[in-house]
Amino acid sequence: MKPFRTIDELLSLMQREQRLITLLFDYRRESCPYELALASVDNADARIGYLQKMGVLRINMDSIELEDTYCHFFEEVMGANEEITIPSVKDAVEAIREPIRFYSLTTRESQKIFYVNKERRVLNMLGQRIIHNVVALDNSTENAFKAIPDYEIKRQSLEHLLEKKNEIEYLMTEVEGEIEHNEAFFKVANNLPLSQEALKLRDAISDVKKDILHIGKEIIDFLNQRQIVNPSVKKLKTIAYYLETMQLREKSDIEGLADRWNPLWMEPRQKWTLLPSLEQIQETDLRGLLRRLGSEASLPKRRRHRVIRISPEECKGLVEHVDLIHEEEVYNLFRASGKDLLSVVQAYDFHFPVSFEQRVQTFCHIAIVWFDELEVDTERTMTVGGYEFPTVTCKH
Amino acid sequence: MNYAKDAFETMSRGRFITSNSLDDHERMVYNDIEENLEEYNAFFGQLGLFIECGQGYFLLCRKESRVDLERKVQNLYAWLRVFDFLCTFDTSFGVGYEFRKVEIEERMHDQIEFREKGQNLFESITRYSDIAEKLVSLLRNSGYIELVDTATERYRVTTAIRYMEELVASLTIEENEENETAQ
Repeated sequence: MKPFRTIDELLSLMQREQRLITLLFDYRRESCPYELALASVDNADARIGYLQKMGVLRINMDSIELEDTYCHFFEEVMGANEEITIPSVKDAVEAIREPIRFYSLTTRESQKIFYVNKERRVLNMLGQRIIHNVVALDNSTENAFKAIPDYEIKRQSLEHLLEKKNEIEYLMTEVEGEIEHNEAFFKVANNLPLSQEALKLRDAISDVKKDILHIGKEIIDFLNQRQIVNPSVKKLKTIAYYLETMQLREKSDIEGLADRWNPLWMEPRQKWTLLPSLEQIQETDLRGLLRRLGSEASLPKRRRHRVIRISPEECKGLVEHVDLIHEEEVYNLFRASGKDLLSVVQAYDFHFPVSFEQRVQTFCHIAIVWFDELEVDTERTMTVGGYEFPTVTCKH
Repeated sequence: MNYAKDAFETMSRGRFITSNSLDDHERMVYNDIEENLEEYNAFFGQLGLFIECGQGYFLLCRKESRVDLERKVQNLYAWLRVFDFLCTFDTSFGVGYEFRKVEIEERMHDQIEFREKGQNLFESITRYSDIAEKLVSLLRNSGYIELVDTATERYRVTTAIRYMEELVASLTIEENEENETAQ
């Protein structure tokens, strides 16, 4: 393997093979087919061979992979690393303590500055690592919930993630404690960037604390649910699992059950499209009905058919003749004629057959209603139809 | 038999009549059906229907199916999903349980599994508040829950939920598989 001599050399190679490296980075989780990689370097085998010689990529049979060093570098720089890499708590604590210890031992000012800078870099690295791990933990937890269909694998993955969560939490507590414990050093060192870095780290820790608690709660909730004692809920969870994985039909007798059960809720909602009868229309307030029909007619076209159509034949049935004796009309004619009431009533044309009894009834009604305006002469009587009537005339 | 019209109007829409309803009238209808079940069944029998009696609920069923099997299976799937969602919300979700609509929304914000289940309930509805709204109205229209307090939108579960419990109990699942997954 031939190492790069300068950064310029490395960067110019990266720039030249930008397409291939981008492709390989995209394929870092699976192997990239050789033909595809070859196409990205304009079918120049030699270019791939050179990159292999420089240790940028490796060829496995008919696929190509980016070397781990480069893969990790790009992932770290671009924040695309999904792995949770927790430094051991002992190492982290030692990394914080070491520059502080050496700082107190050395008397040379330049060395003191060197250790202060080293401490600053350690704090920065720890801060980035903690945040990265919490983000990766959150992503992994979400992936475990969403992408793992098998409950057993999901449970074990989540248990593993819970352990990781506990480790990150422990690391955070220890690092925070160590910073607090060495508060004196930060004051003595009197270095602004260092103090800022320490403050930033403590802020970052307090920020991600609630996130990590939330992730832990989600995982514990899920794991607790799997230990439900209630057998019916347990059964429901199994049913839900089969439902999710589209196996319920074959793993249960749901078809048989559906065949046996015929509740109405399984049926589509019934629409009652009954039309009102003609009788109903006659009894209904016509103005209201017309208003309703008008509003229905303004509905979208597909519903217009609901407006009732009445044929002319049906309309004929709606006309009703009521024979009515208009007594006031008779009385007016009687006043105008100057004749006696009985003669007028007897001769009046009612436009429909009226019996003798009805005419007598009309005579009596008029005599009673307009009694004050009439003159009744019981001396002069007339006999009609075997009945004797007094002579009734108008008062003058 | 004093409430044949009310009973038909409620149950013909696929709704339950429950014994612990907050509505006095519904409880009266329930008691009347309970006392005169034979008369009611004779009445509904003429329409090709019969009343199914559960623990504290009545439901109208058809003697002969009018719906094809596939539709019925899909309907059962949908309700099993809803019931699973509710039991994920709280394993003690049952008769008399009270909850607020906003609690469903909050839980969807907080819990990934619950959120995933919620988003699978209704096609094309993704907003948590819309999902909670749709779910509550579905449960309410079917008679599984009733509104207790308008101001806080608090709901109480009726005895109709036993129907879902009985549905789960009546399903037979291959035992070996059940043991494997439920462990």
